Amino acid sequence: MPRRRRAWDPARALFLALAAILALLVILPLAELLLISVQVPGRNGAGFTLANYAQAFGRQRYLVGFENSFILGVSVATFCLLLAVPMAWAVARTNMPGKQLVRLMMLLTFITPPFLGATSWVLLASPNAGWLNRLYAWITGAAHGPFDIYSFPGLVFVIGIYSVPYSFVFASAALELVSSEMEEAANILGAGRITTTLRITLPLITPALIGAWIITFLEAISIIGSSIIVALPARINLVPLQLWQFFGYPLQVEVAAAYSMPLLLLTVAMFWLQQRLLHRKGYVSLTGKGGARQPIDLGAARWLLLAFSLFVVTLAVILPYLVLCEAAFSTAWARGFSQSNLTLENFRQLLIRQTLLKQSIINTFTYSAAAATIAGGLALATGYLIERRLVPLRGLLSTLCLAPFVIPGLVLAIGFYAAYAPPPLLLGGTAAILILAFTTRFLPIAFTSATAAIRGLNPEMEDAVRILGGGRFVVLGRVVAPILKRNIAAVWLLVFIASSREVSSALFLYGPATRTMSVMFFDLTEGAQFEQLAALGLIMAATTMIFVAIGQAIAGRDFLLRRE
Amino acid sequence: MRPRLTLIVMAIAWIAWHADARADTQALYDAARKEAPMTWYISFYGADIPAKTVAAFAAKYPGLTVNPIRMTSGAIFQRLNQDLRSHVAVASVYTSSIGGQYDILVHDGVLAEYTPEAAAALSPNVTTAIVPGYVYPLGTGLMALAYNTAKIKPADAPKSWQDLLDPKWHGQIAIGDPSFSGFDAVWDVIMTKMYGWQYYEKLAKNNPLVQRSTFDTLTALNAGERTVGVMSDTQAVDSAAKGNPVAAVYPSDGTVMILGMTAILKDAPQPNTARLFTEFLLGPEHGKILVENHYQSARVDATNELAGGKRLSDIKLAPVMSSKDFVQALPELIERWRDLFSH
Repeated sequence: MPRRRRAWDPARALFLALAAILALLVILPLAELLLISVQVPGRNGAGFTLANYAQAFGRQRYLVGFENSFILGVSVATFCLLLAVPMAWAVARTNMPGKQLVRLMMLLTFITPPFLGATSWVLLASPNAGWLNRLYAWITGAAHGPFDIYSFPGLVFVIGIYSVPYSFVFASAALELVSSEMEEAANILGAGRITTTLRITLPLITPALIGAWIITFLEAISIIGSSIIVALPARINLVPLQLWQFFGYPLQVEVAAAYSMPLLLLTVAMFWLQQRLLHRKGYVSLTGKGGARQPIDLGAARWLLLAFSLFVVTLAVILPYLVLCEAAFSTAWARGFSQSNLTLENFRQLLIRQTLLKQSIINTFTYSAAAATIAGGLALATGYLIERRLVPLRGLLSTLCLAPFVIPGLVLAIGFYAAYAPPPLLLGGTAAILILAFTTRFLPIAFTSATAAIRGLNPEMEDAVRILGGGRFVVLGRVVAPILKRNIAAVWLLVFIASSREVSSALFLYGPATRTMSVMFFDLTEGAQFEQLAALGLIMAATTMIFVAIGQAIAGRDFLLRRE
Repeated sequence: MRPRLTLIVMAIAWIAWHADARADTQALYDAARKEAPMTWYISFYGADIPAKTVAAFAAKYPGLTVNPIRMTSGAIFQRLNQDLRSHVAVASVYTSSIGGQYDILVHDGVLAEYTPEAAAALSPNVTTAIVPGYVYPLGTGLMALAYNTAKIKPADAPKSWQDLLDPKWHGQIAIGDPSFSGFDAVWDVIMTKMYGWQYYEKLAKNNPLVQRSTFDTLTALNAGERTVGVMSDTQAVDSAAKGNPVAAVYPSDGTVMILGMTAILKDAPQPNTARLFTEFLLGPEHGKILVENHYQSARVDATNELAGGKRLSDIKLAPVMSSKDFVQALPELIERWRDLFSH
């Protein structure tokens, strides 16, 4: 009897396809960057050198930037978890009132560009003129208020508060998948509510929490907008600030590329740490056996949690948008609230005179949707192959999916332009280069949240289908996708919103017909028009909400803002 | 079909150009009409002005389209460099406020030779910045003092750059960072040239608020976070016109002038549109756009009006620096500056 030929394995074909796509999306631009980092400066490519590295790490201030950024990243990531986990738990597992409101506000926090949020917070908490300080002084009669946004805590706060949604989405998506069975078992064995939550529920969602910690850490050390607005006046040197300096005059792209390389190592270290922490522990919480999830009755404590949640969203959304509304509807924002100062002129200017606005709104949302779809698909497919150990080189694949996030957008954009603009691809100035850049830039977010979701899914159900003769694609289409529907929607939305508020890479890659709203937004910050800037910020928030609502209508109740 | 036609047109234009250096506008227009829309890399003035400029150009020359790509000066220069390195010609015209960039472009031989007819009308104030046949100044911005009118009486406002060193302004000053803002970089170089590095060591003792650029300086002044600052006069004038409490002062020891320069690229995909557009940028219509937006036109016939109804000729200007000196001074200055104002 001839030996049976090995059946064609779709997983292997998928692996090859994914590896090729990841190579194109991640390795190619990063390799270009690495190449740039060892090039002799100048247009004619006069050879290779390590001098760029010597220069990038040859000054005390440059090294201090790394130290500051590292401390900032750890502080922000921890701060985010401390704020997000109680809120996520309250929304996902308890009978806290006003859950929809909290979700809506978290969504608003997320669609607020951090850059815009930081600008508002400067007006709220700058030491002399900040609204909160003046309010404090007015109430207490003190000469000065206690808040200073231009400080390290201020920096942690303003970056952290706009990164909280990442942690919130990760934690609440995981918490919603934890069935009550184990918690009930703990209860039966005599554990109290708090003990159960701390000893059973939270440990079960450790993968999601670690994922959230890593994403917010990386976001904090690479964010440019808030660094410019808060860290620069606070006189704290950070990695992105130093990078931006290399992009000024004299232009030192080669040094900038060299300076970014340690960040790649940091990503690898993060990934290693994640593996270590999750090593050989089981986090299967979703068994497919149903099991009702009873909301936990908190009693009076539910009002306490609601107050906490509302406090957080007040800081993230309500106060900053109050400032923005004041400016957006004012002729001169510094004159404050008064009827003579009230105007719609800023909006009219934007809507009528700026013919580019309509196009840039359409561009923003088409590119973001395309990037979300591609990154989501890639992340789910890769995450599934890795988690189910269906393919070799899993460590490498994961690292590839995580690596792009830590490279600041501006630097990544340089790599993209170098890889895609020249022949044979010739994608410079096209929609494709922006979509690919957004996809690559936010692939780590999609990957982290997809992996966390798949990790919580018991393979027993898939094995059952396999035993009954179903192929891998049946498993994916009929079992995995339906169960993870909500997670898939969350992954999509995460990338969609992150792309729609992306500034730094868009700024470098846009072409005549591919301007996005964030590019327009950044343009206005150089034109001395704070009133119009605020108006555009409101338009951005409103249009993003509209698109999210459309998404909700299409995806049904499983979108982020689900109905109870 | 079309590339070949373009080639023929280019060849004709080339011959015509060498036959008569002062290319005739109508002939340029005819040739430009056969070209595709042109891309313009621009890093000089506020976001609205490139849009207004290309609209006015399209109105004057129906059928011609110019698409502006506006970025910060470092980013746009990097993008141009990457285009040049990969031999992909995207932009035809390059406009920037950093003169030193043109030194590099001229040195590398990547600019097209063209002497605009309109250059004859440039003011003597700016003609020192011309690189004949290649680089021409199209307009200027001014770096001046500004103060919050709700908190400072006009009589008490600082009158000169030296006044900022007075301890009475401790904790009151707002300035921008030279590694982020081109305007602030020029101001820093000129101050260092006029008063030495000690100027900034003394200024640092007054604990100024250092933000990214003049835009943030204006916001800090309007908010009342700080009361005096260094910014372009146009920003103060625009903002005050809306009713914000801010006013500009032209310092008695010399307002700093920042030039915007323009050049055509050698591999310009739309060379005729590029020439016509360069004529337009240096011409009276664009001069009018600049003046309307409170920048200064570089033309002799421009009616540049400054804050308080002054004329450019009424105020003292700081000495204009050659781009070579500027380029030499800036890198070291930025490092010292950042060491002084960051830790």
